[in-house]
Amino acid sequence: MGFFARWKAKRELKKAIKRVKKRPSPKAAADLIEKYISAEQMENAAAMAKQSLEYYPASPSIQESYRIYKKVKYQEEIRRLNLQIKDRPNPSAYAMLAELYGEIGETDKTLDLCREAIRKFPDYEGTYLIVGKIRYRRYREAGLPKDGMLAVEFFEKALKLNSKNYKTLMQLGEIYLELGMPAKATEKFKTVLYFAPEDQRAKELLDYAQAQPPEPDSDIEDRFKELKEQRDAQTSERRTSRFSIEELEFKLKEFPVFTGLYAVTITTAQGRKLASRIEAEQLSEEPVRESMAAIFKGADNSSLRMDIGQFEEGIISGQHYLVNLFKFENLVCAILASSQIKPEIVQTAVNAFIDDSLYASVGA
Amino acid sequence: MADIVTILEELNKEIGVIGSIVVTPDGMVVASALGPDLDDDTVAALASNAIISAKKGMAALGDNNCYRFILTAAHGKMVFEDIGIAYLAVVTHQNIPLGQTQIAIKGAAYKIRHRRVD
Repeated sequence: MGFFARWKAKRELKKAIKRVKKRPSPKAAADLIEKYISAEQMENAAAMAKQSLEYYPASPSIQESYRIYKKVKYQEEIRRLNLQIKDRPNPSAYAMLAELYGEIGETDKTLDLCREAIRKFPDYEGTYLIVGKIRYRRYREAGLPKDGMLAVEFFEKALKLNSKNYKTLMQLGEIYLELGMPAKATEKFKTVLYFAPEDQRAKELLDYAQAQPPEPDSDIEDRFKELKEQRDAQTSERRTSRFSIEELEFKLKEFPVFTGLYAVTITTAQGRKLASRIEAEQLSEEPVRESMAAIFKGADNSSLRMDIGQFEEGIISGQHYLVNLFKFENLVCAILASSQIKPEIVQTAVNAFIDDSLYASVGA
Repeated sequence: MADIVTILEELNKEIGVIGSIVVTPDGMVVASALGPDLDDDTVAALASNAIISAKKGMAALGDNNCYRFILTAAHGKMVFEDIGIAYLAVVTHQNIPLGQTQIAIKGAAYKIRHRRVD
């Protein structure tokens, strides 16, 4: 970068920092991430992106900026590792590339690579650990029994290849404790203490595990399913969202109007009405809400069981209607528009609604 | 003209496409090129579930057609394209921009729909 370009990038960066400080919003934060990238301050860009993703996880502007950041930062390394795998395949190159994809959030690519690596190098512990970690993270996020089961399965496989791995032993011990299986947990913590007799945390967890009543006669899958049921029950008991119904009604008024917009509804994931705005005379609120809830239920159920995670967005093109359905935290928002409208127009309105209305009260 | 599996295999070469399948709305597999990590019957059943929900939801509003359904989830995407008596269902990676891939999906759907049995 030449002197003038560098000076210009820094000036733009200062302006972007001021904007974020003065009035934090997803757009201002996304702009700042991109200005950090332009000024080649990748560490600052990464820190800002991570912080922004915590505050605005569903923001399209932040996701786009993060995508740009990842592309700039890792493109060269990914290319190099891909070449290495092609020319001189070895398990550590696979693991590094898989970790890299995991780092940039492309966990499906990570899992694909790990599957390939396990087929070629079944005795390499690292790949099992990567899969175990990803499955466990997914389990923490969505609580799906399948992810939990696979996390345990892959951590156990890694342990078979290296029975002294401290982190894996501790991780498994803690998972078994969470599952209410103290005997299995005890076994893991005892192994840790055999190799590291002074480990305070292992001692504490072992004491705790040994103080628990004996576990019921159930297998791991049943326990994960029970935990999922408990988690679902707790979720439905919790407050619907951080917005009151009045706030949601108000926010819906801010939804960007475009020609061909028929209706916007917000419901809970269970289909309970929260707020709606009907723009077309021929439509009434209840059938629209019920239809959208039915579509969401089917799509969410399928995506969870397909192992592609929780539903985020659905776009349906019909003869008369275009539907854009998206999940924001625990709200399900649906936009019904004319099929003559381009999906991009609806998407732009949705993005603006998320960034400018739904996130309006959250500061960075 | 190419058979359906060949069309699906060609589609699978597009960036980000994991696998594809042709399935009737009631879950019957017409042709499949899903690859080793995806099970035909499971994908067909779950694709059918999503398609039926979408069709029913649209029908309740008076729209009896569901030409395309793009489902984005946390770890992947599925695209369902109406090809007449069945749907072309395509499983893709989570972070691919669908623009180019969608053109390929529409192309494959067109080829399957207008396929002539020699």
